[in-house]
Amino acid sequence: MRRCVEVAKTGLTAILLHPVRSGATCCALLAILVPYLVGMGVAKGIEHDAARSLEAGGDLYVSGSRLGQRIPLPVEMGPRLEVLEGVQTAMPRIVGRLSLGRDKVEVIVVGIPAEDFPAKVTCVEGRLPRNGALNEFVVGTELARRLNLQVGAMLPPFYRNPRGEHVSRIVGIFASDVSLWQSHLMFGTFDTAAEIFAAEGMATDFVVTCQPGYEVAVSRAIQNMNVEAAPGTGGNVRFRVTSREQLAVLLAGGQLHREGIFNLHFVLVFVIGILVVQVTSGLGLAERRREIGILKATGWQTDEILFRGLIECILLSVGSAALSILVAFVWLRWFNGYLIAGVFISGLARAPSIPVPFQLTPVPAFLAVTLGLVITLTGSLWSSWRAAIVPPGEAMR
Amino acid sequence: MIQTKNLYKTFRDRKKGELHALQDVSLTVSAGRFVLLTGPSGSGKTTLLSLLGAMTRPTRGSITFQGRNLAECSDVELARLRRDVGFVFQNFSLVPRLAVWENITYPLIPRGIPVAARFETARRLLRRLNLEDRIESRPEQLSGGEQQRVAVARALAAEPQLILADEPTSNLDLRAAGELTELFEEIHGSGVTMVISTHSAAMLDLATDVYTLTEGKLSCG
Repeated sequence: MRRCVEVAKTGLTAILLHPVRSGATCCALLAILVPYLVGMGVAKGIEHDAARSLEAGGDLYVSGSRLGQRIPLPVEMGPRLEVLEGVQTAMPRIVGRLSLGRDKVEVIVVGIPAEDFPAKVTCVEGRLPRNGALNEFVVGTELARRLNLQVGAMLPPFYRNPRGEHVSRIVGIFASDVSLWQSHLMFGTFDTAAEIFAAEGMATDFVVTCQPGYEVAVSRAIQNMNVEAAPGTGGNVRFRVTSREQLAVLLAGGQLHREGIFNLHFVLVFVIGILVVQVTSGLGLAERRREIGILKATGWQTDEILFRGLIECILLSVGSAALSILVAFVWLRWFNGYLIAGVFISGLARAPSIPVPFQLTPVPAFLAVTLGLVITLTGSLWSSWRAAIVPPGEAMR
Repeated sequence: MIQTKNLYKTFRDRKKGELHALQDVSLTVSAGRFVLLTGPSGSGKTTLLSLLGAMTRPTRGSITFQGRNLAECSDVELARLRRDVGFVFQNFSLVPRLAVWENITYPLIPRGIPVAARFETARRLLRRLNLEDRIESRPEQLSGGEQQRVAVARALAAEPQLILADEPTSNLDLRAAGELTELFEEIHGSGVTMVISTHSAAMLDLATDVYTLTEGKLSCG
């Protein structure tokens, strides 16, 4: 045991003996592992945000479609949904996109009855919009920062309807544990959203909450509802019901697709990484061979030399992986997932202006250590082995 | 102590064909002897020492050391046997970035000797070789003579009964070569068997046996 410990200690010495080689290997591993960890961190962060968003929503989302196109549904449909067995509430909602400010910052406007504002939205300044008061909004903290908005700020007319142009007012700034909400969402009352999008009496969809265990029955009942349930839509309407679980699957599927593409690219990088480490392990190879020859000439066995090489690889990969995790955290936290976040969040610039959600979980960190180990072992143990199996005199030549 | 019988070593080269480095070499070195191997360059001295030091295998013949035929030993057994032999190389063969004391005691690591004990061993040997003040130096900070004395210290670290030295004075100036010769005399005086290949006339006075190698063939005297 003591013999193993003493030989293992020389693995660390070997790293310090060849600083150029160790540094080059470490840099190669960082170049491979950091983007991987950043990508996985963003992917997990988005997953986390998506899960939070779903928690805040309803059990079912009811929308209408005609000829495959999504169409708004009349608000009158709400009471007809609420009388279905198992339905607790059916909240109409208007969701639309807007561009605000000189920089055309894309904003999602969500209009819901004031009494139905999600519990996850809490004002850090000001208050929530009130029913009956038109053109009042609360914006996320990050959106407020980007648009330089404070409570009481007036938004110049950004929409026009038959009644002319309107000024809107920021009455509150909200914080949420879903960072994409903070950076993209603007909440107003249902009436305000209807006014902005000139969709009076209509809703883009209904958020339905059900009594536990009734989700499937309610979903079936809605799909079988008569067209007359949606008056004013011109007939030929189909009701589309998406459950929370289906939405979770859809979101996860989209995310997995992006993760898959990212991982596929990563496999290529991984292969290149092995080649790079093989090249870097060739740095000072002659000196290394000679050193192994000296060790063998002075009584070291091949297995002891290989064990020393293995420890060297393990220390290099664990050290590089730990450093990669640190650099990835800096990249995510202070550089906001620069370059890589755009792979996972569509429409995002190279330097995202929103705080990119991220989570560094143990699984990618463990994978980074494993990948690092595989790369260094594949790349450098081969050269050690080749030097270790020849007679000492030959290795020293 | 060590004996060779009808030893042959042939190297195969694609361009030059077969090169017979040693032919029918039979040599017996008894314990406590001081054996000198002389002969012109390329005569096979280094090859013979490599074979005696279990660093390579003979093409034919036998080498008996500690009652075992090296030609029949596995690689692991050969490595273990090398621990009982101290080898001093012509070009010192020190690891450049290791401190002097680490170079000396690296052979002790596979024996599981802890670092403090190894350091003490190195200090003791360096004191004996008047190099104690260079214990933390790197090989490149030493003169050729000092490097060769460090190499001798490394050979002595495991307290071997046999020391093999391959032209140890050839890269040294006269003064350093003289000091090393005195050192070998002192080591031999402590009961260690020595086999040294050299062109140095100074060592002839110390030798108990002298052999000459010519084109791979060994002759006495």
